[in-house]
Amino acid sequence: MSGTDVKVTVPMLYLLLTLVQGKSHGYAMGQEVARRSHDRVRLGPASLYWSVNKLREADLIREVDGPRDEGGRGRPRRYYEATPDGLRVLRDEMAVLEDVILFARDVALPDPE
Amino acid sequence: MTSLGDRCVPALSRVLIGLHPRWFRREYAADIRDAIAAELNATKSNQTTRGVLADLARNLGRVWMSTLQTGGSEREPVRGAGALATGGGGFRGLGHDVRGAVRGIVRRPATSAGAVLTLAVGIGLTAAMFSIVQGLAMRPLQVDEPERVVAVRRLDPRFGESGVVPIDFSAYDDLRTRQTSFAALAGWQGLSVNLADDLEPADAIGGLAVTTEFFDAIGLQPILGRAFAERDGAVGAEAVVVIAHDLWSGRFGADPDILGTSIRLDGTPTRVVGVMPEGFGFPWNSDVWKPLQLDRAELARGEGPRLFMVGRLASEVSETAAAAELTGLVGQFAEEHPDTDGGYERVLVREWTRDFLGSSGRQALFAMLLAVSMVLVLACANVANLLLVRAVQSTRELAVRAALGAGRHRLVRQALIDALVIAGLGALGGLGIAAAGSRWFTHTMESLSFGIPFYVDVSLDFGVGAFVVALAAISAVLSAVLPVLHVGRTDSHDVLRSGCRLGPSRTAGRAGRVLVVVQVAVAYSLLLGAAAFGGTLGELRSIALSFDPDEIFTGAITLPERDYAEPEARRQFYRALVERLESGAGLRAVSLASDLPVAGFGASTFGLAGEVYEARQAPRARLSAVSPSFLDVLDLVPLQGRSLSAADDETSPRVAVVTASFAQRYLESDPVGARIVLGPRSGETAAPEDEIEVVGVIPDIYADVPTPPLPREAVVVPLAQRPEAAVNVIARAGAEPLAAAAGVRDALTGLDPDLPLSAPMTLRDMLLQNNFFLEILGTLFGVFGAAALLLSAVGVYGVMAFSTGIRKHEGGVRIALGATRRQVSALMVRQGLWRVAFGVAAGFGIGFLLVSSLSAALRVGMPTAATFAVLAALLLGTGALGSWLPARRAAALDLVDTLSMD
Repeated sequence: MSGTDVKVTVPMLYLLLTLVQGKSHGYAMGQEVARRSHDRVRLGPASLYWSVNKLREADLIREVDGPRDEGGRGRPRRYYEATPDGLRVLRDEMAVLEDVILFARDVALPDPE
Repeated sequence: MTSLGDRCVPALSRVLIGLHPRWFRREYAADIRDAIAAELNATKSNQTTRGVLADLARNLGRVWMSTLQTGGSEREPVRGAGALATGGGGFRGLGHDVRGAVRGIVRRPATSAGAVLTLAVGIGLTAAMFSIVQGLAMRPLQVDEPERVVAVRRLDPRFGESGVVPIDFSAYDDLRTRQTSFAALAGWQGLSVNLADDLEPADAIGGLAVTTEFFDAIGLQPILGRAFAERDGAVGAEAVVVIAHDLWSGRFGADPDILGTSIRLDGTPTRVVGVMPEGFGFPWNSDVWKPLQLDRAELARGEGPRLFMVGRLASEVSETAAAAELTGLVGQFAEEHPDTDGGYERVLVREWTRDFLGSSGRQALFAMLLAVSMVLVLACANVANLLLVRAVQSTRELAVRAALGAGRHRLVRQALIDALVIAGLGALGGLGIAAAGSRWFTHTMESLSFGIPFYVDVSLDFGVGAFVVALAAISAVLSAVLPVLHVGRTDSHDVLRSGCRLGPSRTAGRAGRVLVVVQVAVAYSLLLGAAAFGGTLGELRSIALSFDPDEIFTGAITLPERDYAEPEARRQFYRALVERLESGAGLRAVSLASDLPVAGFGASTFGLAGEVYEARQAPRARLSAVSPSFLDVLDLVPLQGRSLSAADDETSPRVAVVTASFAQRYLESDPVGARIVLGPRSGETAAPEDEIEVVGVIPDIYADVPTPPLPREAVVVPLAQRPEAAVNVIARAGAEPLAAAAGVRDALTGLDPDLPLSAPMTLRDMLLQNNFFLEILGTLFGVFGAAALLLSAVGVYGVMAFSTGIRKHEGGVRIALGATRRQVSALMVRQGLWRVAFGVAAGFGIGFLLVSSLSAALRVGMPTAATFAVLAALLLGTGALGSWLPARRAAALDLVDTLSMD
């Protein structure tokens, strides 16, 4: 095992979070991220799958069978779900972010003039 | 914009997706396409389309970076908490791969050495040629704003842009005073002077007589003393001279008190007023610059010295604008003075170094660079084959590693690094070859009597170094393409299932076949180029070589105007000299000739008696004035009529002999007895006393010279009837011709102690100098062709050995089914020959284009059909041998061994 780290980015956290709600396919994940982030995080089509690939490489998500009722329109979509590792990383990162938020409140971040 | 986006975005995005690494495409291309379609369906704003494309482009860089750094799609574990803040990634594994590459090289020393050597030859020859091209064609003059220094030439419509025809002084002077495009416009003419002082023997040195604007036009001032002032150009002004750094530091020992010293130039005491900076020798490697001292008012139009022009463009004036202005002026002159200036229509203004080499010279140089880069392509093809063999041999190892989790891209990277390491080592060897090549070139140029132009510096410098690094990188990529494709296409499951034999050989075999065709095509076209040069050089050398040019001694003498202004003085000097040389110097036959056979530098106009010629309409021929034994020295006898004799002197009727091609072209019916005129005046019939009777026809002694264009037709007249001031001693001197120089010098100084003998050499050297550009390029092309032949032979052998090697299995099966060994090897040889034949056919096309472009630049002739055939046969023979050796080995293998091999 090479031991190289994967840098978990904010879009990747969003993508992981969408999968906590249940398995989903790439495009839907991207749409959900945009909605949930109020369009602050918009992943272009290629970036979306780049991040998906990163998450897969790090074994944070994995490909699963899609719902059976979706037939009838060409290529079946590929569905992903979060792995236990993914959920663990998500919890760890959230803990870090909570600390960041608490710190920010503590210093009473002033509004920019 | 939207409609444009509608059409372009799908196509552009397909292209961008296609550029992603294969593993990424395979995994996500379809999903990305769907996502793009969905995105565009939702909104079709420009922002969306731009966003989609920008995203693809960004991702492209990101994915490739990651692929190269980490080996792409490998699964990597994630570190625990806080990875968001810390990041990661990097070049882990690179050192490992380099070590792997070095191990691979050491493990197969023979193939590796072959690959390194091959690339060393390819890179070395290309870099050597580049250093030559850079040194000759890409170096600016070492002066202030060198791009403003331009050659200015009034074009003679008869010779086109390559014809270098000087302009007469009055026309130059009118141009100079009326033009507004130049900061300075100077005229110059070549000068050969005898430098004498009381300390050392006389020395013939070269230089220029220039108008006083000269140093302003160049934009360079002396490091000691001063440049010329206007008063230096006045008639009767004190004789002054500016000398070159080399002459100052050589003959005068860098004497700081040189300024004001008087030296004797052609017997005239001349004061040194300046010393130029080191390395300046305009236009070639001059030693002295003297001001022309002329009074315009005393010169009639068309009289006076004929000059070449060099100018410094005024700031913000382009070459084109300056040329347009001067062209207009020349048109006015043609109307004002139709007799002397009629017929000239155009002025060419071109940056000086660019003009000096000429557009055809540049074209030839760049054609050579193209040719040598084909050798490099050949070398890369060989290395590609070697690496491919290595990749195929380790296919199973690769497959196992892939199955164990090594990403395919790690394997691709390994192949690239292999190629880079080999190319790096090859580049080191190549630098050595390039150094040797540029030294050879400089040495060859310096051994010519006219030396190397002062601004040329052919050496390995930073530019060549950078070029070699770039070549190594390109070579590595070219060499790695095939193995990388092979690795990329190899499916580990197939390989493991098939036992490693069948899967890779199909792709690899196809690649090998393409390689053979490419190599043979390149080799054939380069050999054709070499043959074209060889044929042309042979033709140039074959003229009038009924004598052995190695035995003929030559040396030049220039009689200074001051002491030998009268024709009679020159006649007497020549007679006395020939007498002394015949009696004393141990020479078998001696003559004097104003223009040497083979080598002549100029042509003169002539006319047929009774004809009237308009300005610049008279035909041209070479002209040489010779003393009586001329034909004896060359061992030639007249083809018709008689030769010139001592009886043809100043008191007898004027006579000439002409060469065979002259007689054939101008005097076809009856050459002997025909009457011609030298230098006919335009619009007039020649006076009877100017007519010359042709008394004989001799074999051709000149060849066509392409630049400057000189005809092969020649007229030879008695020196007594045309006592030129500059002549050459030409003598048959036996086995050690240069030993004759001492005797000739003695004879000269016995007559006039201030007279030096310049450029003593054999006629062979003279011949070499005359065609030096062709000789040098021809030699280089010969080297390229030989390298190409060798490399392609090695390459064909390598590919055939490899492809028969992976077909041993098939051969074994065929033998098991009843084929004889001979049939099997014949089959393989036949298939090999087909590929070679295909390569020859392709090479025919490329070679034809190459030779055509060379012949446009240099008048290199097309090789004969026999040459085409012989070279094709040579390559087919090489191919047959290259196929037969491995085929024989394959067919000789034991059947059981072959089939049980794994």
